[in-house]
Amino acid sequence: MNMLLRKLGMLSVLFAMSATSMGCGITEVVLVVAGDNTVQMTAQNLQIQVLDTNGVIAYDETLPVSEFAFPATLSITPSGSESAAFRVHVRATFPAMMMGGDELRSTRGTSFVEGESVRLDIPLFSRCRGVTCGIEQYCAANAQCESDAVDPSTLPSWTGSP
Amino acid sequence: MIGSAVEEASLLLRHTIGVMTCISLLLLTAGGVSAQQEVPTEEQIQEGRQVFAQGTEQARLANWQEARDLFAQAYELARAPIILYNLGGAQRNTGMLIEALESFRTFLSEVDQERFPEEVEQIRISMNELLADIPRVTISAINMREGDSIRFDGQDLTADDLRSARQVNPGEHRVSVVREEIEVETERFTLSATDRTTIEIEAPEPPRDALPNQEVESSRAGLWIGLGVGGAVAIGATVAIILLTAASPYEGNFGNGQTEVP
Repeated sequence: MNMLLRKLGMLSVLFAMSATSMGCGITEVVLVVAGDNTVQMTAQNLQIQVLDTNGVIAYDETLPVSEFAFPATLSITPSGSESAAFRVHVRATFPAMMMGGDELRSTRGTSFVEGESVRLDIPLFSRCRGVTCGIEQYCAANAQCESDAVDPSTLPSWTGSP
Repeated sequence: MIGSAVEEASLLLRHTIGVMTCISLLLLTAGGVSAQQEVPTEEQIQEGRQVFAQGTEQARLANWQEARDLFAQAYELARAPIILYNLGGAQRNTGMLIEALESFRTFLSEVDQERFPEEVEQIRISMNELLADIPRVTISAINMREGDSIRFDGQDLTADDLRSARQVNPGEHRVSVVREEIEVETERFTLSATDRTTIEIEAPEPPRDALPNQEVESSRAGLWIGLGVGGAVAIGATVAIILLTAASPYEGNFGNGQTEVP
C-alpha cells in the first residue's frame, strides 16, 4: 500500500511539473493605468485604446473617472496569436485651463507572453502637461520623452491586484 | 451612419477603376494569389476576372448584395487578395460588418501593402469605423442548472464566451437556454450599429415531476449517498476553483474590464 501511495505521489508531482513547464496558464496582459495625485483629483475622462499590429483599433473606450477608481485596470487577451504585439494609447482629459493643458497622453507597445499573465503599467504624470512626444514615445516621470517599446520579457507577473 | 455608408460607397466606387487595373495585372501573376491557397488555373483567373467585372458593375449600380456575391465568387476563383478590398466594401454595405472586417484583415495580411498604399490606408480607416459600428452584446444567464447551456444564433456558447462581450452583426438575434437538447427559454432581440447591450436570459425552474420523489429506503444508504455526493461536490468545487483561477482572465475595473487583441 505504501508503495502504491508513493507512486501516486510521484505521479502527481510529475503531472504538476509538466503542467507548469507547458505554460498552461492564461495569456494576458493586465493594463494598470495610474495617475499622480493631481491627475487623480482633476481628470475628467480616461480613454484607453488598444491597437493591433496593423495599427487598427481593437478596443476604444472613454469613461468618466467617476465610473472607476484609479488605477484603471483592463485585462487584454489575445484572440489569435498568443505572442501577438499590440500598442496601448491612454488619454486623460481635464477641464479646460486646468493643469495648463486639456489632456495627458501616454502609449506603450509590447507583446503577449505565451501562457503568462503579466502586468503593464502606464502611469500618468501631471508634470507631463504640455509635453508633446513623437510617434511611439511617451512622457516619462522626468517629463522627458522616451521610447514606448516595452520588452515583454521585462513585464512583471500579474499578482491579482494592482 | 448613413452618411458614412454613402461615403464608403462613393470611395469604393472611386477606387474601383483603379482596382480594376490592379486586378488585371494581379490576376496574371502568381504573386497576387494568397500564399495559403492553391494557385488558380489560367481558366479560373479568366473566369474570376469576368465575375469581378460583373461585381464592379453591380457595385456601380449600388446593387450591393449582387456585388457581394459576385466578388465572393471572384475571390473563390482567382484568390487575388485585392478582390477582398471590394468584397469587404460590399459586405459592409449589406450589413455583414464582421465578415467585412475579416475580409479587410485578410487583405492587409496577404497583400503587398507597399503596392497599394491608398487602398491600405482606406481599409484601415474603414476597419476602425467598423470596429466602432459592430454591435456588441453580453449574454447574462441567470438561474442556470447543471447541464444547461446557452445557444446564440444556433451556436452553442462556452463559459468563456459568456464572460466577454460578443461582436455580432446588426439585425435580429436569438439566444436560448438549452436543457437536455431542448430550448426551454428563448429571447429574441434586434441590434443596430454601435449598440452595446447586455441581454439577460433566465433559465426556467424544472417541472416538479422531473425531480426525484422516491424516498430512500435505508437511512444508511442515504448517509452513504449524502457522503458521496458531498465529497463529489467538494472535489468538483475545488477543481472548478483551481481551473477558474488558472484559466480566467482578470476582470479589471475599466468598462467591461476585459478586451481582446486580434
